[in-house]
Parts: sequence; C-alpha cells; structure tokens
Amino acid sequence: MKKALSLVLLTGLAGGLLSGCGNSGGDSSPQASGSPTSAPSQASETASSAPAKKDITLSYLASQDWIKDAEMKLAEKFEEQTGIHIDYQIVPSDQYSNVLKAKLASGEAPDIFGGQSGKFDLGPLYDVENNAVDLSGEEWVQREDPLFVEQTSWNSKVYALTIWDPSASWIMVYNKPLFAKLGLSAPKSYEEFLKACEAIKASGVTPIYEPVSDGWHHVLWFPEIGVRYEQLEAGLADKLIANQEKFENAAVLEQSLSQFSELVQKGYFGEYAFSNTYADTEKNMADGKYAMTLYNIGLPAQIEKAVPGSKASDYGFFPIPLMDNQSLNVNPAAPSKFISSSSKHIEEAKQYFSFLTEPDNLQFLLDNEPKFTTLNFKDVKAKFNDEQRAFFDTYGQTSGTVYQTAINYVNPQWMDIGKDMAAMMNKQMTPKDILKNIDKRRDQQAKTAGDSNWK
Amino acid sequence: MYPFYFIAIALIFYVAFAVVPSLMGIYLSFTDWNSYAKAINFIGLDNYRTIFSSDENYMHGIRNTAVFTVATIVLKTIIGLLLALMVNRGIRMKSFHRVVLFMPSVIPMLVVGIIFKSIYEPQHGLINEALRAIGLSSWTQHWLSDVRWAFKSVIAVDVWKGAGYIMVILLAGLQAISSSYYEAADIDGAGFWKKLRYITLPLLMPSLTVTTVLNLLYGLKIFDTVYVLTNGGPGYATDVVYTQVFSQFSLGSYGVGTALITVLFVIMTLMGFFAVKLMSREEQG
Amino acid sequence: MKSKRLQAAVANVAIGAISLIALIPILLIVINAFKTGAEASSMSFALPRSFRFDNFATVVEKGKLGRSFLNSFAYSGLAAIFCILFSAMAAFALSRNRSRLNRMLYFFIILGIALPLNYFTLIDVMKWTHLMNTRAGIVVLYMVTQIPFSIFILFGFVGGVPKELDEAGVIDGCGPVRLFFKVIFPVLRPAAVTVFILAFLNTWNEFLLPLYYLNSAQKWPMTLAVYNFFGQFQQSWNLVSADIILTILPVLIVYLLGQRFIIAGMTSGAVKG
Repeated sequence: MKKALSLVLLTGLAGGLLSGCGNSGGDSSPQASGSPTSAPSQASETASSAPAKKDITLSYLASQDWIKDAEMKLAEKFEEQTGIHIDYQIVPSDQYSNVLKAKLASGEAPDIFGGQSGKFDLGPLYDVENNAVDLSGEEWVQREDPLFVEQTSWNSKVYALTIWDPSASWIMVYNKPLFAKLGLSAPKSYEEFLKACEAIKASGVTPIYEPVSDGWHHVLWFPEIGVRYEQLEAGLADKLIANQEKFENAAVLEQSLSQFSELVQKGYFGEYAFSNTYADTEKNMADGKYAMTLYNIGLPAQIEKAVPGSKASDYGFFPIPLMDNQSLNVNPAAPSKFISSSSKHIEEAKQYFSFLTEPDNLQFLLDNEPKFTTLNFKDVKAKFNDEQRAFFDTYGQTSGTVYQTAINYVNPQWMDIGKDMAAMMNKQMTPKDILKNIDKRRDQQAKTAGDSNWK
Repeated sequence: MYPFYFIAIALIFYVAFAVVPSLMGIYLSFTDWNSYAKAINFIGLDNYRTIFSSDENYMHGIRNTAVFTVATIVLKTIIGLLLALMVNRGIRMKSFHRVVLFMPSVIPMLVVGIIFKSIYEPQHGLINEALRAIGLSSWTQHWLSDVRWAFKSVIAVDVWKGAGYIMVILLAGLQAISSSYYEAADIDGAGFWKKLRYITLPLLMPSLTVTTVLNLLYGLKIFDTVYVLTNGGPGYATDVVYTQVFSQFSLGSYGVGTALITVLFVIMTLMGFFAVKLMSREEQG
Repeated sequence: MKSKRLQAAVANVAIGAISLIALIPILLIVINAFKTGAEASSMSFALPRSFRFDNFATVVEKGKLGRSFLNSFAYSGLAAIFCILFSAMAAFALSRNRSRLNRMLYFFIILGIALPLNYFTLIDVMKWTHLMNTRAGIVVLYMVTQIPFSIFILFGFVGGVPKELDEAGVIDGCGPVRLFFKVIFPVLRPAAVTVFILAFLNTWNEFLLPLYYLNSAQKWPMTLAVYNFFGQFQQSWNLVSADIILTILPVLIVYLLGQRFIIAGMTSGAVKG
C-alpha cells in the first residue's frame, strides 16, 4: 500500500510541483513594463484595440463582497480581448487586513489589491507612497466623482480606482405592507421609532433584523450618523481629529450608543441577533418575520431577485433614527482597487482599470449588480425607482460624511468596536467603556504613526 | 557510523523556518514595531507591561486559554481512555468503531467549524431541533452566541474532534500491556476497577504522558477551533491568546502581537517541561 | 458471569452511542449534499426528495476543486515524504549516538512542538530564501511544521531497533548511508507510515500558511478553496455540503487505507519512547 502511495505521489505530483516552479519563474522574467509589447499607454481608453494577446496573469487580492459577479464577467471579457487573465484571490473579510498587511510588508503584494479608501487611512494603512502606483494621470480620474477621488488621494496624488455606488448609504429599509397594517409610517424621531418598534413587537414580528454574527454590521449604527453628531455639536469632528476632544467626553456619542443599547435591551433585535447572518438578510426580510433592517438602498431589488414572489416595491426607506437623525449619511470611502508598485505588470493592470471604466462596461456592471443603483462615474444611467428617488428627495437635502471616514483612526478599529458593541449588547460593557476603548486604540495608532497632534 | 549530517538536514530546515522567525519575534517584542512607522525603536518591556496590565483584556485571553487547555485535557483523556478500554475489549464491530471514532480528527477544522455552526444554529440547527422534537424545548440554547454557552460549545467541538485521536494513542498503549498481568489478576480474583487501578493505569502512564503533553501543547496554541466557530465572540467571551494575537496584527501593533506569542511560548515550554517531569516521576513511584 | 455479560452490553451500547455522535455531523453533510437549495436551507436530517447529483458537478466547476485537490495532494504528499526521510535520518543518528550535544539537540527540536508560528517574521525568512509565493515554499513550511513531532515518534521507535543490526551492517561493509537506507529504514517502515499519514493529514487540514504565503488562487489548496467557496455560497447549504464532502473524501480514504498503520506505528513508536 505504502509503495503504491509513494509511487503515485512521486511520479505524478513531483511533476505538478515542477510545473509550479516553472510558473513562478515565468512571473519573474523581465517583460511587462518596459517591453514594447505592452504598448497601450495610460490613455488607452479602448483596450479592445490592444494589438497582440499576451499570456499574462494579474493576481488580484480582495476581501469577500468587494468583487461583484458582474466584474468577474467583465474580467473574462477582458481576457478574451487581451489574453490577460485576472486571478482573483478572495479572502474572508476577517482575515483580509492581516493578509494584505503581511503581503505589503513583505514587498510581495499581488499585482492588484483591494482596500477601503479613506483620506486618513491611505498613508498609515497602506503606505501608498511606497506600495501603490500613482494613477493621477489616468483618463478615468476625470470622470470619477471628485468626492470619491478625494478619498483615494494622498498628498494630492490619486492611488486607487473606486467603482462603487455613491447612493449606497446605510439606511433603514422597512416592510411597507407591514407598517401599513399596523397604521405606522416612517418614523421622524427616535421617540416615534421606539413607538413603531413597540407596536411591531406587540404584533408578533421582530422589529429589526440585525446580523451581529458577521462582526461588522451592528457597528454601522454608531459611526454612520456622523452628520447628526455634527448638527448637534458643531465642530466635534474637527476637535476629535486634532485630538482636542476625546470620544469619551462627547455626550452626543455616549447618548447615541445608549440609544442603540436601549433598542437591544427592549428586545427589538429579537432573540436571534447574535446568530443572524448578513448573507441571510434577503431571505429573512422577505419572510416577513422582521420589519426593518439597516441596509443599502439596493436591498429591495436584491430581495426580489433572491426570493421568488417578493416585490421590491414593498419596501421603503428612512435614515438611521438614532439621535432623531433625519439627514442622509454619505460615505465616499469605499472598497477600491490599487496597483501594487512592486508589480511586474503595472501597464497591464492600468489597462484593466481603463477597461473596467469604459462607459459601456460601467453600465454593464451597474445593470448586472443588484446591489448597485448608480455609480460614482459620469454618464452612467442610474436605475432608481420611485421609492428610491423619493427617499433622496426627502432626506438628501442635508447630508454629511460618516464618522469612520470623517474621523481619523476609526475605520481601522472597526472590528474591535464591533466586539465592544457586542459586549455591550450582552451587558458586559457600558457605552462609556466603548468610547474609552476607541480613544485608547486611537491613541495607540496615532502615537505609532507619529501624529503631531498626539505629542 | 552516525554522521552529524543525518541530523543536520532536519536541523537546518527547522532552525531556518521555525527557530529564526521565533527569535526575530522575541527581539521585535521589545520594540514598537508596527504597520504605521518605518523605523523600529527599542522600547524595553513596554509591550509586556501592556499585556500584564489590569486595564487590558489580555489576561482574560490567557485565562480562557488555560481553561480551554485544562478542560480539553481532562475531557479528551477521560473519553479517550474509556473508548480505548472499550475498543480493546470484546466489543462487537471493533474495527468499525475504531475507524468511526478516529474519523472526526481527520476532517479539517475549517470544515468542522462550518458544520458545527449549522448544528448549533439556534432556530433550525440540529441540536435545538432535536431538543424540541423530544419535548425539551426549554433546554434549547443559543449555543455560540450566548456568553454562558459559547465557550463550552467551542470546547465541546474540540473534544468531539480530538477524543478519537487520544483513543488511538491510548489503545496502542493498552495493546502493549502483556495479558499475563491480567491473567495473574484474574487468578487473584481482582475486579474491573482493581485491574484498572493497579495494572492498566500504571502501565499506561507513558502513553498518558504522551497524550497529556500533546493535548497541553495543542490547547495552549489553540486558534482554529475558536476562530472558525466564534472568532473570539460574542464580544470578547471566547477570546484566547492566539485570537488576540491576530487582532493585534490587524490593528498593526506587531510589537504587542509578537510579545503575546512570546509569552505563550514561555508558558508552553514551562508547562510542557513540568508535565513531562511530573508524569515521569509518577511513573516511577 | 452474568455481570460480565451486562458489562459487555453496556459497553456495546455506550460505544455505539459515541460512534453515532462522531458520525452524525458527517451524515448530516452527506444527506444535505444531495438536496436542492431550498430543501437544504434548514440543514435537517429529512431525506432529500430526489437525489441531486448535479450539486457535485456544480461544486467541482465553481469551486475549482480539481486544481486545488492536486495542489493539496502535492503539498501534503511531498511534505510528508521529505518529512519522514529527514526526520528518520535525524532520529536515527540522535537516538544511536547519545552524546551530550545530541541530547541537547533532541530537546531543542522537540521544543518545536510547542513553538508558536510567527506569521509576520516568517515572511522575511521566506523572502530571503526566495520561497515566498512558491509551491515549494509551502512544501518546505509544511515539512518543517511536522518535523519536531515526527522526530519525537521516530526517536522512540529507533530505540526499539536492536543495535546488533547496525553492527551486522558494519561487518557487511555498509557506510552510514547504505546502513540507513538498506538496513534501518526498512525496519522503521511501520513508524514511517504512521508519520507519513499523520503529517499528510495535518498538513491537508492546514489553511493559514497558504493564505499568507501564496499569491495566487491557482496555487491554493483544498481547505482554502472551501473557505472561499463558503464565503461565496453560504446561502446554498447543499453546495457547501457537496463541497465539504469532496474535500474530506480524500483524507478519509487515506485514513481508511492507512488506519491500521497508525495504530501499529504508535504502538511501537511513541509509546515506548
């Protein structure tokens, strides 16, 4: 038995290993950037006219949920046209930042890597000046929404391409027939929201679907309404950035967390919040067992697609109601694509970005991704329905940036805040404890980053 | 006749890929190494002070790791021993049971995590469904998301996966015990317990040493079981040292992360050393 | 006599129950792998209305299982073979020549069972050795992680091999290499098979090393492919189940074929050490 096994292993698979080595040898051969075959210059908008097909593989590291199926289809088309294959490595979101950091630190980054944009984070998190390629000269930068470009810039240079839905704010999505049956309308204050929840709970339906098990979703409730904090206490954001104020001492922040905690303690998240998963949102919302959830404006379309017999028009929207918020929370920071400066195929990667941002391809992406309703590029045809348009007409008048993008050193500790908030839901921490921890982690990051405001 | 290069090949690989990174880690644990700054500065024992300071959560992780280790050693040893005793005796379908009982330990932990997340699921997971079906609805629990149950549930999965492995090692030990001892005991009219106490356990001591040391080192290093089931949650309820190491790394505080690994290594070496000493003394006594 | 029979009955029932507990989660996966997506969404023991074999085809195609299977097989197989070879040689020399230095080296290597990996500093070593992002690098790392425990098992086993064999070999004019390969290694075979199987199974189940040290999904082993698959299809439990079955089938087969060696090897190796 042993003989047979080792024989198979040795003969069959040593070959596999060798071919593997050959592969990596091919990667390191000096072609790419300087060679004449990689002709299409940065301005090449029409990648389809690329002359010769190349046998090149671009490795692309991204976190789960960042690469849409439609983008993978586009990548196949790209390969048909150019011969350049995109090798997607989708890493589970909870390991992503570790894996990416390890690879950046080693100088062994993949050709393209994903990363959350954010004007405060680009330097400290990704060290873009060393790790990423300057994309300022690319043609598509001119067509991209300037707000998004700002979030992908560091020291006035653009380092990443963002293709995302600018209307993808996290807002409350509610079941309209259910609200109507109970004589409820979209709440306009926290008080009204509590009353609505109470009525829904009394009717035997769980008011809110909250997938805590994913670790990141329940955090949204707190930093997303930065716009409201700024209305209630003007200048707070600037003070926090300049380290003249601590999270711990900001009454509005503590109150906001207390209200979140109140929702939990009153049982509005139901019995199963801790085991609910984000991926099951559509199913559970369609079932009618839950009345509301915190999601993007694209959720109704997703429900209609995922669950036969459900209708997108059954769902309405209102902003996160904590702290009586009635304004729209906007986050121009989004999952973005960087080209690694150590890549041997920088031109090909740029070519891929140009291909993705061709108007037809952007439209294809938008039309085939149910989560997107519009894109952060000029001249795409948005697919808002009446309900969505009405929402933006009502609440879009006043808007502001979410805290994880407006305040430095918040976004990197997202998952830690998630653990703290989960502990608060279990009554093991108080809102004050959470704020103290946020301060502590901000201090730690700021000091190690050598931030002059922390000296 | 026994040239040094026989040892050297394994030794070189081991030193290069296991010892050197660890030594680098120990050195870096005395620095402020992090993902934000390029310069690395020596900061003495600061990272260790952070770990052992009372307003941090690390002691909680170390405590949890200790609880996990002790609980899994005790449970796996007892269950593994019982199984080995049963499988070694006149049981029907002996080899079937041996195969089946060892099976969980060959399944990847990642897969075990996925399966048990579904089994523990409170609404339609297998366990709660089964409890409801036999009229014990009040026993249903949120196995992985209730702070009171999460850690116990994680430990249970680890025992499910590991008990068969321990059984196999102990079984090997049992089979090495000469049957003449038992025959002599039978003549003296010794019962099952007497034989267990005076023949089986003492003679099994070398095997028990092996399993205990293996379980000990495995338990202290535990990461994947916790990671795939709860990732330290809910909140920090099931955090162990290694999950904390990873969250330090994701915050970019490599210095604190490596210091934690170093603390773990020191604990493991000491415990492993004492375990071997202790058990070899018992063996002689 | 009566109590003996009662004892046996109790033992039979008890072990049956425990075996059932060991089996249930696996059976659950098997049953659900044949269901439709809707049927499998509650992951129950209800039998599928009709057997959907196409789930497996879907999984093989979408999960890129063929490729990752070959990768896993190569990584674990080669790592286990090199591991046995180097560990057996080291264990042989360490056990036979118990000089002060060698005793120290033995404990130094055994310490490795307790050595926690430092993923970040290891990257530097991988870069210096040009093994980062290579398949060979993963084989080396897998081998290294298994060496300490393998030497631990083989060391005990070598102790049980009579020294007279060496002497006979020397009289026949064997050099150390010939002595080892012609005389000693064949005697070590049962233990070597044990070590091979354990090393193979351990590395087959590992997923963090390739996640950190490989740069291409084409080089990913099976565990990572499952991880990735679960991330993408976690709503489709039927597909996830099918994926899991195809992943654990090879290890179960290796185990079933080799299980008698595991017990045999452990009897003579680890325990007597």
